[in-house]
Amino acid sequence: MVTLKRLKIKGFRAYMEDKEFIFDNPVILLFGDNGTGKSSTLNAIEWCLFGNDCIGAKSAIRERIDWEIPNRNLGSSADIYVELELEDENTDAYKILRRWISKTKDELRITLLDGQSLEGQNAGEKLAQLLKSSFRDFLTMVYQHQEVIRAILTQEPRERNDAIDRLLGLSDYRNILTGIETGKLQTKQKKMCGDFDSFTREIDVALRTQEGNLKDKRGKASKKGLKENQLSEKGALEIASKVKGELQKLGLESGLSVVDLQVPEQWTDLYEFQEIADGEIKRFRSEMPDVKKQEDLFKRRGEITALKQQYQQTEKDYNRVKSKFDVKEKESDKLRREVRELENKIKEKEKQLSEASAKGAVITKALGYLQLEGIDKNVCPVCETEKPDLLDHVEREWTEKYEKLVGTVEDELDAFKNRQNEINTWFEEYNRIKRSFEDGYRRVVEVRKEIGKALGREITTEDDPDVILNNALDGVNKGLEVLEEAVKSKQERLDGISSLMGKMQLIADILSSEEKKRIVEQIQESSEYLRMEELRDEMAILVDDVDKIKIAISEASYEAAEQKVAAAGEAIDNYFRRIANHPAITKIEFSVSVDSRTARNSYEFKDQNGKYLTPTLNQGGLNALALSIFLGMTSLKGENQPFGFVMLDDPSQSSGSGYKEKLVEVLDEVLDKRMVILSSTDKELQELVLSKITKAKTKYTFSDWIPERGPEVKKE
Amino acid sequence: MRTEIYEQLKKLHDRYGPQEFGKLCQKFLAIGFQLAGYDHIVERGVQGVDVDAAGEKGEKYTIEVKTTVKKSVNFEQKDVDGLQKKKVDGYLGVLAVLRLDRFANWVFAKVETIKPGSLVIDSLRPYRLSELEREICPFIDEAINQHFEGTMRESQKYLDTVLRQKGVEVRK
Repeated sequence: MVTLKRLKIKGFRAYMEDKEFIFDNPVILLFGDNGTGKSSTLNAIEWCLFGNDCIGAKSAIRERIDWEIPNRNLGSSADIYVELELEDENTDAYKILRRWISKTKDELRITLLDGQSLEGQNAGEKLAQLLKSSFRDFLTMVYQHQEVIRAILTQEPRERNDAIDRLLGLSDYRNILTGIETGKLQTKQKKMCGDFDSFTREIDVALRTQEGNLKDKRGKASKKGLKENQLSEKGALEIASKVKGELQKLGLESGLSVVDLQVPEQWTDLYEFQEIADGEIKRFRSEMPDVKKQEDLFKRRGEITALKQQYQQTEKDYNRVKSKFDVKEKESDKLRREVRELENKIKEKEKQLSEASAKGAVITKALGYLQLEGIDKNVCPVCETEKPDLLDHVEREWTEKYEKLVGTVEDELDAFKNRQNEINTWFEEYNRIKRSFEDGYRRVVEVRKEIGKALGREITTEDDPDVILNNALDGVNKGLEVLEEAVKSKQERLDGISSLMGKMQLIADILSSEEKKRIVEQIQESSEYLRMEELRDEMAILVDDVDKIKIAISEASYEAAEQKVAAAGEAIDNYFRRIANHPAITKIEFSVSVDSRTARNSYEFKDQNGKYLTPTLNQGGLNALALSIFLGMTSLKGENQPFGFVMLDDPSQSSGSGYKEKLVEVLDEVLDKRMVILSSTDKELQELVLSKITKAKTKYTFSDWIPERGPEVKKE
Repeated sequence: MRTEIYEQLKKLHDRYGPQEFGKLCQKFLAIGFQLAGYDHIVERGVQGVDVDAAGEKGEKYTIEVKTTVKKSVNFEQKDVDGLQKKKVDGYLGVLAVLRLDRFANWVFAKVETIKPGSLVIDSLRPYRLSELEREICPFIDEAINQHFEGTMRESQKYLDTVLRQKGVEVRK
């Protein structure tokens, strides 16, 4: 067990100047008010032993997150260090010096008994060998830090069990179990298996797809009359050869050139062969001579039919206009004669009217004169002879002779002129029809010429184009009938070749699907796949081995814990009953079991009735229990308890006098096994320690801390 | 497992159902051992351990055969007891599991530390007798391939005849 002999501090936290502490008695009492440097003294021991592990987030102590090692009042070049003299179980002495360099760096030196000095990594290794503990272990086993010790009871079970394991010196087991857990081997194995399963599922889907394709294609092949033995490379190549032969034969028969089709040696080249052969079939279909002839005759038939329709329509139009014109023409001679007669009659009537109009004008003038006022109505105004009743006579003559005559002639003349207009209108219609007739005739002549041109002969007026065209059509149709048979026969042969090509392609597709399927199938025979299988086995063996190790460690940890619980249980029970002095608790049962889920130790504290303790304890009771466990563990001995001292930082916080008295009693017993370094502000506790503890004591009084100097420390 | 073997086994399974299929696989396994050169083979159709196989070099295996289409098999206490009985004669107890799956293979596992119950096949990996698998499985595939048609026709009867012809003791 390591014990403390001397401590020297300079520039560390509350310290400015160098101070020395001699641990020359079993009890070291650090007494003074708050803020005078007591905690810095305990912290200096921690820092010297564990360096950066006890500061910042690594320490897992909230208040140390922003911890500063150098005293703020020192300059940047100040020498900051803590020096600690230790002695091991063989009373070999070691001087540990840790010097602060920067926030992230410090310098460690260990001077051995023989004066040999170790630095850097060697010094670190030597220190670890000496302490056999991590900072976390130190916190739970040695340093009764309020925050940490309370965690033993008030934090969640996992952390509590972790802290008690450390108190019992079982950290190594727990650390290995944590390491195994952190490794998450089983999770990784599951993921590995999951990934492998996903991979095989994908292969399975690919295979099923290919199998589906194959089934479908084989079904089609069967419907096309292909036999099972033809569904092979040989079968496909035989068909290709047949295609080539058929095309060459047809080409020769039709007088068409054929490209040099090469039958492939393997089915994978069939697609190229097929592309070329397809092109040839298309070319044959369009370039075959009979087909060309057939196309020409179809064209000829179309032309003749169009001419025939054109001719028939033109002829029909012409005949319709002609019949109209013939009717008009017959009527026109008679009407021409009537026109001439009408012209004479109009002339004659106009003459009559002119004469009657002249005589009538004289009479109307005479009447007008005689009707004037003052004119003798019985005297002739020309000869001035007396003519009795002359005005009456003239009026009678006008009414009875001339007025009637003029009216009659005018009516007759109007009738003649009306008739003349009617005939003129008739002739306008006549002329229009005549023009249509003439146009129709011209069209007939033109169509005949076109027919003549199309048929290569002259069509005279004596010819019947309709019959001539019909004859020509008959000739074309007969030619087509002959060609149709020939073309149909060749197209059927080409269809047959196409059908062969379809079969060949189907076989090639089947072979392609089989090839793809085979490639996928071969995956599981590949060395990589087999290696994956081996890896799965190796991983399973590893997980199994690690699991066995975990069980073995768990068992070892449990056995050790059980022994220690048995050894310390009595002391814990004793200490708790005395410190807490709880009227309802007469016994504490401290037990350990293995958590089947985590394979770790699980600790329980029950009262004399077997009821769990922690839910019924108040804060003071919990503190007492925590302190009892901490102190109870000091009764343990052996390699797992490497420290010969404990450090208590203000253990009487908020406690009554009875509690303090009992605490001091217990400490007196603890001192049989360990040195106690006790830091306190409590005068009552100080007096109790000085007056009741039976072991020798050294007291350091802390006072008058000032920034420029640090604490004033007096040894008593 | 090669696809063709898987397809043959699947056809047998579809035709005869899981129970009969298990018996057929047991017989194929026995033929596989015979083809691999094991000279003393006993195949039990009704009770006891399914197959015993002993080779010239002194290797002795007593084998409980399980077939399934799932990812686990039931390994019962009576199976453990049966295998245990043969241990005194120097036989190594083997659990031979075949999952009828395109990507599955026979798993031969030492039964010494395997506890009875529902076993996930993958959990047998740490106890696999990989060398024995490599030695025997190709011969089981060969046996299936060779006797597939006959088995499709006559099932166990056919395979029993084959086993007897090969000098395998068939106990009913």
